[in-house]
Amino acid sequence: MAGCKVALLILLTAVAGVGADERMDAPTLYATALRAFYVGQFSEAVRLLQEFTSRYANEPQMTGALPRVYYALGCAQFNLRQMEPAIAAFDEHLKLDPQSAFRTDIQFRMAAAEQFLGQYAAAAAGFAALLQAAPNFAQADDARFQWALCLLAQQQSGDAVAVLQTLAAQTKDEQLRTTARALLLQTWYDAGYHLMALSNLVRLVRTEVPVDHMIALSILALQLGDHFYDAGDYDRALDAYRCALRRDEMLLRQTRRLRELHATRALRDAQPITNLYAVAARERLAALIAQNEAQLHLLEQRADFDTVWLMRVGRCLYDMAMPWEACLAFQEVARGYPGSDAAQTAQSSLIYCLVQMRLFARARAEIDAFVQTYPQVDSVPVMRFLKCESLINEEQFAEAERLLTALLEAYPAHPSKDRAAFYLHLAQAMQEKFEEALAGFADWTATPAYKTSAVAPDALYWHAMALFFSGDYSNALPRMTAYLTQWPESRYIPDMQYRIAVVHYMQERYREAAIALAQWVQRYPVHPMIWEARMLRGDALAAIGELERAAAVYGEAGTNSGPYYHYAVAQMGKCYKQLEEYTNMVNVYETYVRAVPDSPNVVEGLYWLGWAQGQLGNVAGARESYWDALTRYGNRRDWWGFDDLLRDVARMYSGSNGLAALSLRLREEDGLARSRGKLTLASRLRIALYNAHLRAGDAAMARATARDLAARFPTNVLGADGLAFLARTVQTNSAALPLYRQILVEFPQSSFAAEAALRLAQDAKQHGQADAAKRWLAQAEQLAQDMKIMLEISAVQAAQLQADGQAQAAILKYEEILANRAARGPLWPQALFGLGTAYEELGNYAKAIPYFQRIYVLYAGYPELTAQAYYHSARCFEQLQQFSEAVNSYRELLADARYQKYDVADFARERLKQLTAAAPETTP
Amino acid sequence: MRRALCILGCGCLALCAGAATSFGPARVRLQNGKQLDCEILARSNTVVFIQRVFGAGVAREQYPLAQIESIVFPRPAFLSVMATQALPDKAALRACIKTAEQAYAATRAFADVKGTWAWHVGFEYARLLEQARRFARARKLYDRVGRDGSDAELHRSAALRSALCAYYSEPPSNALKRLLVIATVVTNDAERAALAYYTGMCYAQLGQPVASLFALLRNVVLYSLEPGWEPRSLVAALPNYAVLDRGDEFRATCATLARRFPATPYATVASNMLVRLAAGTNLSACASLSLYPVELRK
Repeated sequence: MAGCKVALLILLTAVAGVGADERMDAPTLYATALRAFYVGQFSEAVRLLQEFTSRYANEPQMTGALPRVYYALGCAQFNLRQMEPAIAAFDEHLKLDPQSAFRTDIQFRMAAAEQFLGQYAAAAAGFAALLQAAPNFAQADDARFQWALCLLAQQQSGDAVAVLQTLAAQTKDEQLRTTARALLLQTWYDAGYHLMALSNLVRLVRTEVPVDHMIALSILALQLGDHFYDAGDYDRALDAYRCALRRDEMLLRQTRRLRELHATRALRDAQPITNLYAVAARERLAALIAQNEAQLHLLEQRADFDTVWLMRVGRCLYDMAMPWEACLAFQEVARGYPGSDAAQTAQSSLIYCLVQMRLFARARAEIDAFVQTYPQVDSVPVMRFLKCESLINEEQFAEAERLLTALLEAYPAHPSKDRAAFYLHLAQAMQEKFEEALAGFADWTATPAYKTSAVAPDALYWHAMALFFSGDYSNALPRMTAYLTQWPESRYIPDMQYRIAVVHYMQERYREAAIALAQWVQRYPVHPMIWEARMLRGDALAAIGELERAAAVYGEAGTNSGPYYHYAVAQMGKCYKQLEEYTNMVNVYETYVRAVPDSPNVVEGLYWLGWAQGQLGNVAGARESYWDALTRYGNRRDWWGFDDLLRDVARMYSGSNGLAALSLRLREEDGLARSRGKLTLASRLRIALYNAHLRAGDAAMARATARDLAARFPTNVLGADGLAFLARTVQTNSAALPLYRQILVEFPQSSFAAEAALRLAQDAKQHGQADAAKRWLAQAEQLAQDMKIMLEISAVQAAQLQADGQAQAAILKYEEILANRAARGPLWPQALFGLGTAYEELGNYAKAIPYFQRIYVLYAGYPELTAQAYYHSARCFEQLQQFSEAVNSYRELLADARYQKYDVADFARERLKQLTAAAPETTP
Repeated sequence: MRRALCILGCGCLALCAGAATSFGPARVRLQNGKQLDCEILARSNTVVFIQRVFGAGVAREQYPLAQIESIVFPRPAFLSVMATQALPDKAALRACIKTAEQAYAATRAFADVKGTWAWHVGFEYARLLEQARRFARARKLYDRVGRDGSDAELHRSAALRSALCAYYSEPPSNALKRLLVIATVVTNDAERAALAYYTGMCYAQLGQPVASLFALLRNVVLYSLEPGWEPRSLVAALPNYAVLDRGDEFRATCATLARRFPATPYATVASNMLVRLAAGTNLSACASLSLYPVELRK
């Protein structure tokens, strides 16, 4: 360096005298060239340096300087991408200064120049030689990277892999490492090392997706995924697909990255270039920006990237039996890209997934959307069929029938016509439309094309079942028997064999039924119908009088038989009852009560236990069984069995002291219940005591008991029976209404609910609230569980009809009441009165009179009604011009002191006066 | 009267010149385009008091808020610290929260003026509260930022974070409504992944296992590259499968967790569940959310 400067000075001195006035001298030329170089004016630098070499190349004094000049010239030409001249300049430099300090840099640039010129072999050799000679060269990493690129350009993937691996492992440059790894992945893929590519791809993206390469990596992920998918390796295919990012996420990240890079470039451009490394850094940044822009452009052109990716993912997930995940992928395409080419396929794939997952409601919604969006596509009939099938699967048979009928009409040549027709008839059978179903199945089985249908076994099975469930056992049996031979491998065989046994039973061939069921139970011990079959076998044995064997069969049922346990115990009890084996009966029920103490059916068990004990003469034991039940369950507000059980236990207190003993026990239990805080039970015992007092003829005591109950027990501890008792016996009408309402709110399922609604209806009617009365009455009718209440409801309905002017309809209602023997008490005379007044309204006075007469002849115990009957019959007689009969009726009404407090007595008095004044001869 | 008050105000300032706490240097831009580099001394509801240096002299002035287009303070140091500082432990977090509180209080004085940093500081403060799991307070602060801040991106981010905090501080039905609304404004996969998880958890707590699965599994299918969400979502999917009696899916998910996320609490739970099932436990016994390491509202 110092020598060069001296040489230049000498030159300066030597040519000072020579120097042309318009030409720069050598140092100035050189310095100017270098200045131009450093400010990036490489063309100017080249021109000046070429000028220098053309002037001084053969000057011996310049020998020392020329190497630097050639070096600078080569670098400037290199920067201008004038590679061949650059190589020549570098060659000259090396010739002049073989031990040049810039040797490694020049070797690097020469190799890079060869690379630029496409002379990859020479470039690769150059880089390799450079790294061999100077492994710690400052730009060794760059050199290694370019070497790898040259090898790849020559399709030498294997060699490139080694170079890239070394680079990725050794370089400290994060960006270069990432680039090397990204390139390595592609290289592995191209070289066929797919597993290596996949495992490294997964590792790379799971750490952090390198933003400069994410688009290329996402594309590679798709390629890898496709490779593994085609090879049937779905796990790896999915691993690969999951390494891709969504397009908009990549666009977002890439755009942000470009903004950062441009900002960095702007900052660097604002700074002066001070050395070659700064130039190299700028070039690298420019290359990075160009790479990112190219990636972005590539992605922008791939508008279908997401749909392609998602469809592949969905397909892969579906094939891996991951339907939930597959659904999501297809749904994303269908919803997110409705206008894309893949949308239709995605939506239909989504539907298949949902059907497979048995998410039928969702599937149907998707099918509806599909049919609406793509009404003309070929798959619409299939989709509509799937919708029908989903309804069958969800047992929505009415809707299924409607849609299947429409489907078969719309597509008479539907590809699944056999299945659709089968479903249609199945839906009809399930709705008990047996006529249509049987006709349909008959057509189906007679259709030659359906003989080889995949659903033929199902259709024939359900045909037989339709006959069975419609009660046509005679026709069902031959079909069932034929089925066993025709489809011996069918999954319906066990069921069919069971049903055949049932048919025997239903046709009273009990022995055959018992034998068939015994065989069936042995053959299919874990069939879902096993307990039903066992119970039926017991029933069959009992029917042929084999009671002991029947009891033994029933005894096979334990608590593990679920709801059949109670049935089995009840049947065993009946068998032993019939056999008069009361000891066995006691054992059965004792075991039952111990086994299921909390079952609601245990009350019945206790009842029969008590009964059986009674039969054995163990009255005390029987009574205690009943008291056990009463005290165990009597404190439950929602228990309805207290009255029935109490009635039965009361019968066990017979004799002259029976009632007193019962009353004593009631008082004792009442005290015990109250002391234990069992207020509901105590209230029921009080009501029982009230009834006992009435039976004993002590009405005053009964009333006191009732008053005490009303005072002591708040309504929130009373059951429906207690509330009804209070409402009926103690409370005034207005105070009773809230009690009835409470029954309806808290105990809508109880037997008192109908009465409560009825009383509310009557009250509303009394207050002129016709609409409310109708509503309550309708509710009462819906809730009614016993005939007495239903008849009362009918009476009120009849009165309502009459009030609405529908006398004829009212007459029909009244006649219903009279036709029913359960109509007791005031209902009968009320019905008679209603009929009389209805006929009177219709003007049929002759027909009305007998009804009124029956009242005052037979029902004088109802004074108000009797008075009314007298009056109305008299009015009818008047209408018929039978005035003497009218007068007689008025007189009979007025003759009885019991009727004088009623208004009709005054009306009768007045009317009589008028009649006798008008026609004195009518009065006897 | 007003003039008298202004004079009185200035007089007070003059008296307290030595003791008054100023709001520090700022650049005031007026509506007429003029720009004043000054120190902000005080403000009232309608007026801002400033002090400017002219050579050796100092002038005190006041400007009505209506004349001021913006007041730009230097970026608060707190924000710079937040961008660079890591919080290694709870003590550091608590200290940072205290700093945030002070910074927020300081910047709020000019929260109603354009150019304020109050809402940016508020947002970071809320993030710290969220990190300390004080979700109710964080949510309120996010809501305030979202409501009163003028920056569109801040609005969006605050709304999103508020919805996520709502998961922890409100009943699931309310939280779900907010999460569903916010789904329209998320812009990147990281946000979508968080949203998918919390939406799925809301559905699970509301007894809608199918909807829950379809939300959670988005993190398996679409956002698996967002770190951390996939295993959390897979483990949250397990009780849903149990409720639906989907034994195959339950077992497959457990196997996936054990294979792909070994040595994590999720894999441990999954392995334990497989052992329980193999021992004869009913799938329905695995249906409770409390059996799994999932985020639940306390």
